[in-house]
Amino acid sequence: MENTAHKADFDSFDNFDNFDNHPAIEYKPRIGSEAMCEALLDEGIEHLFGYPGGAIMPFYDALPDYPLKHVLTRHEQAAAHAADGYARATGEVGVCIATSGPGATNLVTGLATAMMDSVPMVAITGQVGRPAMGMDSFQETNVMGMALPFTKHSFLVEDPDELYPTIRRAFEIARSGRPGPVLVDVPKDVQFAACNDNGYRRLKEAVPPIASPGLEAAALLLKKAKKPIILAGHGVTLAGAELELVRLAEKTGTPVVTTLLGLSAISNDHPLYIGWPGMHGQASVNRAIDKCDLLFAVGMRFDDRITGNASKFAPNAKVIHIDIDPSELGKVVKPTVGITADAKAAMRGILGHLDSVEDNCASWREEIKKSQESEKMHEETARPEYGPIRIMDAIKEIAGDEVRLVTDVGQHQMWSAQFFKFTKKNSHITSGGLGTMGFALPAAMGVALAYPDEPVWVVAGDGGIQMNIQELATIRDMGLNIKVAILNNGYLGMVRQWQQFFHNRRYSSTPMTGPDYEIFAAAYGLAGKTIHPGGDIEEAVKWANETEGFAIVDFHIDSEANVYPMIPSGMSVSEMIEEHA
Amino acid sequence: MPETTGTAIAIEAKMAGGIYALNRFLMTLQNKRMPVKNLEVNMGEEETKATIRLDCPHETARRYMSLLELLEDVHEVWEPGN
Ligand SMILES: Cc1ncc(C[n+]2csc(CCOP(=O)(O)OP(=O)(O)O)c2C)c(N)n1
Ligand SMILES: [Mg+2]
Repeated sequence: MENTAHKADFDSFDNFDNFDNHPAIEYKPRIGSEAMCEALLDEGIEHLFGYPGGAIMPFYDALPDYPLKHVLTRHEQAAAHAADGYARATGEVGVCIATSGPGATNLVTGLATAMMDSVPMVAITGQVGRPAMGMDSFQETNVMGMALPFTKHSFLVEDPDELYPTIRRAFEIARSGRPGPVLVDVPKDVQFAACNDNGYRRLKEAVPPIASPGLEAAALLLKKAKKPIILAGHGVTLAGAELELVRLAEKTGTPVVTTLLGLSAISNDHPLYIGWPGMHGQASVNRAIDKCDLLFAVGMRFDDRITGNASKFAPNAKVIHIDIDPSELGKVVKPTVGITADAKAAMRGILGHLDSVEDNCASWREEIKKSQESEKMHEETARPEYGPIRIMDAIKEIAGDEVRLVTDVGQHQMWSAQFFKFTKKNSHITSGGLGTMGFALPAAMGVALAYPDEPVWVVAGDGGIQMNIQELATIRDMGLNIKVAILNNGYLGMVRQWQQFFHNRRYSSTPMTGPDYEIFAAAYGLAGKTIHPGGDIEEAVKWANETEGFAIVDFHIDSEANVYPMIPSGMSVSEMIEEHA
Repeated sequence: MPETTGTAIAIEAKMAGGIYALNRFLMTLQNKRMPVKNLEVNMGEEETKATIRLDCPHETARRYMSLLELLEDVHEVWEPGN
């Protein structure tokens, strides 16, 4: 049967170009697995990350007939993180594939990571055949049930005619409104079954339109404020609203801080950028928030790592909160003005109400600047000998302005955020909400595939790097251009730091060993180097930078270095622990 | 947990029929720790209707309503009488 319904339907999509690139594909009578591939292709998908198994075999059988590039990872968790990294770096939907049972359960950490950080992703899992479902069959798991809290939506497709429209719909859900991961579970026999028909159903209308009274009220508050702060989150990057952010800051003379995921939404060089707040944020930034009279929070959700004790957070401030997810408004902090909107649209709207603005905040900026002087001096004196700072400086200096930094979770993540100078838009990629150790290396695979000619550096701890280290094989096979800096302190450092502060230095199960990374990399046919304290950090970074493709440098750093300052969990800026001499 | 008020606010929701939409709806109540005092469900093949009573301030209830409304297979959420 000529599949005309499909062609007509395709007209309504903008990714026509991609279709044009593959004129060889003809629409013939097809089976479920072919419909799956066609849906991916019609979404403009180039790369998939996955791992086969019994229940997804029909899909893998169809795959080679389509111009879709499949990256075989060495673990399904890594496939999910790679799709996530790809999505974060490109703004497009990442795709990962797994089989039923253990394949699907291995994806879960990746789904949860993407869900927490609002990353658009589609995960396709094979399921046991329809007659075997509910029978505790071999490799049967309730994937839909398991993934419920970690997905924006999920589908079990039991009708082969529904495969194509459902996968298209999954993409639209993943990227619309507040982005997130969507799961499509497909029983094996459905992948084999013949399709007769396909239609494309629209989803329900996304996001309500922007309330203009809110925009005007927000503009008015900005005009009146004497001590305003803009707090920018991941939503700014997701909306591509970096320019609007800078315009708004410049127009009103407002200092800008970011969340961890908002980092790199504004160049760290910008004179109005003052740093980031929260548990390990600069003391001066936390104090500025404590004193500000207006907090303009955009595309962020007042995570507890930012607020600490929410009742004592920004106690003197009126709050403008802009988020695309209406259920975020008032969840943690009650806004004076709450606006449900895309960050870009909202900031543009507010700018439209800001024709004439007087600069009321010169003395506020001066006050903040003064409070930052001692911090800057402290950092400058520490710079020459302090491992983490020098390593960050060396990567920036040697790899250049185009470098993207993908960090894992722990002390090194905080040092990266504190000391790396982010000047490139969307160049900081990390698991913020879930704090997933093992994220960085596979996520960097997605980033490197998206931007093969641009430098990608992973900064990981000696703990986290071992959680997905098997991906060296994928990296070698794909010839990916990734450099890794391990900040090796011989500890699960962040946990050790908490033990030092709050558990009387009882280092229970935090000392950590690992392989000799030089030998380990060599076993994969890859290059590695070890740098001991006193070794030439800059030389090692240069070596890695000049090595073609992959290189790993294992920097042995001070084992008991801490991340300062620190506001203990649930406390406020007045309880901040600062570094003492 | 959100503060309680002792007086429950009724919310009604219509969603896609079948067990999956209902499962996601119930999971969301539990996942976001909504203070559900009472729940009535009439599940149909085409459409399911649920009535819940939440023990929390009105403003919090409204936030929960928008959260439920955002679920892809929830069609409508409203306060009866409004
Ligand atoms: C999958 C996972 N397990 C456990 C944790 C808890 N955790 C947070 S930071 C950390 C230590 C990380 O150690 P390492 O990777 O060596 O980094 P470091 O803190 O030493 O820089 C641990 C165990 C986590 N975030 N993720
Ligand atoms: Mg460590």
